[in-house]
Amino acid sequence: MFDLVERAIQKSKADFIEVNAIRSWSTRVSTRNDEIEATDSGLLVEAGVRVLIKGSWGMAATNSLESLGDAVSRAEKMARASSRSGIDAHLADVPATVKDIKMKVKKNPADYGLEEKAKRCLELSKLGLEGEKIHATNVSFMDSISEAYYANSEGSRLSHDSIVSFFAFSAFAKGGTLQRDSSEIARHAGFELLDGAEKIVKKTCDDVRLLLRAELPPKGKQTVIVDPKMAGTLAHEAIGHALEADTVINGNSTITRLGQRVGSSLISITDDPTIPGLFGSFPFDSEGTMGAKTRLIENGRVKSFLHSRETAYKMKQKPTGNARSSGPMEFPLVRMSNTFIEPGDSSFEEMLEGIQEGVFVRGFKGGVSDTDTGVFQFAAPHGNIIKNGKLTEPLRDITLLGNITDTLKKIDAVGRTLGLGFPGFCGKAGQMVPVSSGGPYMRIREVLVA
Amino acid sequence: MTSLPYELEFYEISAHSMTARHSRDRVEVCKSIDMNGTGVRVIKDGAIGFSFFTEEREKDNAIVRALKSAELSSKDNYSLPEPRPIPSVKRFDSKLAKIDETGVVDMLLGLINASSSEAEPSKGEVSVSSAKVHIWNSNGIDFEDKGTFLSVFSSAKKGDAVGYDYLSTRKFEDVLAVGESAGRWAKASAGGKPADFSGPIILSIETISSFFDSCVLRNFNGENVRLGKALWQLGDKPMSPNLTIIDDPLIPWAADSTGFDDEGIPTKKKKLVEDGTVKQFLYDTRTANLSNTQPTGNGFRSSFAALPSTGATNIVVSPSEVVDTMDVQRGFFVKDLMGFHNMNPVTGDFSLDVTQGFFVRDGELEKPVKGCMLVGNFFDILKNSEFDKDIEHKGSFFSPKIRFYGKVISK
Repeated sequence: MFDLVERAIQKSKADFIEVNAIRSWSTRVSTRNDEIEATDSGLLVEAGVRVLIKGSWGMAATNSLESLGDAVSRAEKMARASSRSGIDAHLADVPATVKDIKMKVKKNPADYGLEEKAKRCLELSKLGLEGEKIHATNVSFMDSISEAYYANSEGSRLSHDSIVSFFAFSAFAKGGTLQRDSSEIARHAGFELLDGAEKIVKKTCDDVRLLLRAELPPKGKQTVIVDPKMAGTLAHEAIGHALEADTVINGNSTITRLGQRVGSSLISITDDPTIPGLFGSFPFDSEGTMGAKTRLIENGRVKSFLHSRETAYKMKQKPTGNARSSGPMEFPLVRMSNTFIEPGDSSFEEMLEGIQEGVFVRGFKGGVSDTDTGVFQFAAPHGNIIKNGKLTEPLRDITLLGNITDTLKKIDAVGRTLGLGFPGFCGKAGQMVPVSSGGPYMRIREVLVA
Repeated sequence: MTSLPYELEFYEISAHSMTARHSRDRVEVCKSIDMNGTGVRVIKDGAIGFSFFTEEREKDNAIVRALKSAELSSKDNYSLPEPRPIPSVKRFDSKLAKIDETGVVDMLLGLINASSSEAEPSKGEVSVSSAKVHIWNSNGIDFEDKGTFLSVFSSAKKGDAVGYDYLSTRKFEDVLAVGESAGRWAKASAGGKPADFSGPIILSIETISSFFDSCVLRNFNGENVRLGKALWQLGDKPMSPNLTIIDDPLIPWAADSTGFDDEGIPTKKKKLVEDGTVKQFLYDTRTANLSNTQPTGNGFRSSFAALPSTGATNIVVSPSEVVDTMDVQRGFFVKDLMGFHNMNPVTGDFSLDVTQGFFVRDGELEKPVKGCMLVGNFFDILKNSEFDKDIEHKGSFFSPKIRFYGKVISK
């Protein structure tokens, strides 16, 4: 693939040019109860060219590598036209890198037929359905094998072979009311992702049955303990997005400077795309910058923003390798990878002991947060009443409301065990990228529960 | 090809789209995309298989993969459509098709300028595309059609007020009008304060369009009807006898106009609601078969890499008795609402932020209002309302303004 890319780069007269290309082979399976609902497979080739001329960007993309040369001309045309009223973009320096990165998995998806994958998904869908009070189940499975290429006019030549697998299970339980619950696992892994998936199916079924007898939470300000998944949501949605430098530069973030206090000194937050296997991991970003661990918050204060080369230049800071796009056809934006709150030194029991009346919050099922104002609203599917230092009656549909910096300042205990790698697709400007989040159990005082 | 032991379909799309976006008064992102891809559907012994590819040399492999997928799938037992006469509709504008990358950026620069005449430009986008679709199946369908598309969005700021406007169409149009309108609304909304009001409330086409997307149109989707997720059955009378709602894919140059759907079925104009009574639901081939009815030419795909599913085309809200909705001594005009994802799509209950509202006095917009809530039930509004004499349109949605008696509460 590099010779086609090489020719395109040589042809260009732009001040800077970069090419992202991918060839990916994917399969999908979905089941409903004891039937395979649909299966399919596809082979996609996508290539994108981005050029910088007199401080203005132009981008072009195609599904055909043979027409890369034409794409270069179209990208240059757009860059030239917009340079009349351009943004005056510059790129912070990163070293040119030449690297070929291969990934090893235990069970290569290419060695397993669509039939085997469908059979395994059906097995898991049926297993769920056998459970007491379970009314319906769905499995959604996807895997992909891809070769990604990056090259630019500064001499970087990077390639990466990767394998990703995704599994989601949802169950409906009936008994008085109808309840639904779901779980996902997704990693840079092969078909081994589904080894032992029975455990997840059973746990989800247990959880959805629990919802049948769970009550709505008591409303009002309370002391809560959040689980690693909700802690990860706070890290990603409420803090991570506010630290994306493009958002900061556009004046849409409440967090504006290094050193700013955003939480209790017990809180440190890290973004790290280098953790092997996690859904948000990548070796290099869409600008060819190598992915690296970035400490975002250190003891409650802002330590670093997340950057592309362009935002790093503008803010006179170092690129962090966080320019990502959902594919070569999209413009890279500043995005997170695997974002988590770092563990502290409390045990779960110690945190509970300090609470006479409160709420334990488990999981995350949706919500909104606004970087402009710092206001968030996150819903958790599960929880328990805490009474005299003990977990008691089960709860459902717990919504936490608040302002993120106020809330992080009220954290008075951080657990010592780290829960990592809750996978998700993060959306920004219509582009979805794979990410993960995590954290320890945490105790927060005076949170508004609704 | 009729001798194939299975049914086979290719859905091939090639599209060229150019987008330019600005932030404040600077061009931020410009993108030119050539997209090419094919979806392969097979039906073997009643079971559906699917695959997709982007490189022509993958075609034979893709058929093999689709057949493999059919072997595994549960049986749906439908047949691919056979060719029928296709109605013609204007959807390809050669003037739009001739615009190149430089032309799109020129249009954006014009838009920035237009939105800065009465306010500050905030964000905006111009997108021009043309697409060719080719559908071939083993039952004799071999249809090809091309269409053009223009979409424009503009927002402008004045103090703490934001004004916006947008358009989407298949014909070349003056984009400057969109920018000017955004600037004008920003200026008109500047200095808006919370207020309480009880009396005649007039909804803008933008807000009615959002209500239809959030809670009305889903009830005409045949798949939702089949699964018991829709609110109404044929013959139900959920709306004012004054109201007729039409799915019309044959309006010249409208955003969702097309002579055939993504399965090659000819499209037609259909009354979903006639004089307040539910008359028709929408179906693709698969859903129609499962519901023992005929497809309505509403099978659409989100991309070449997806099977068709049911979707509406242009929606026209057409009242039989009309008034001048703005002809009130004292009233409240709701230009923009926020928070539709929080409304209840089943009951129609809503409590939404009025981000842009105006007091109306003697038929004219008066003081701007913002930071209050409009509370009500949209299905009640469709039962007991008056409709304007003028039908406006935004993209694929055509409707008059709606006036009802309600309340706006300051927060």
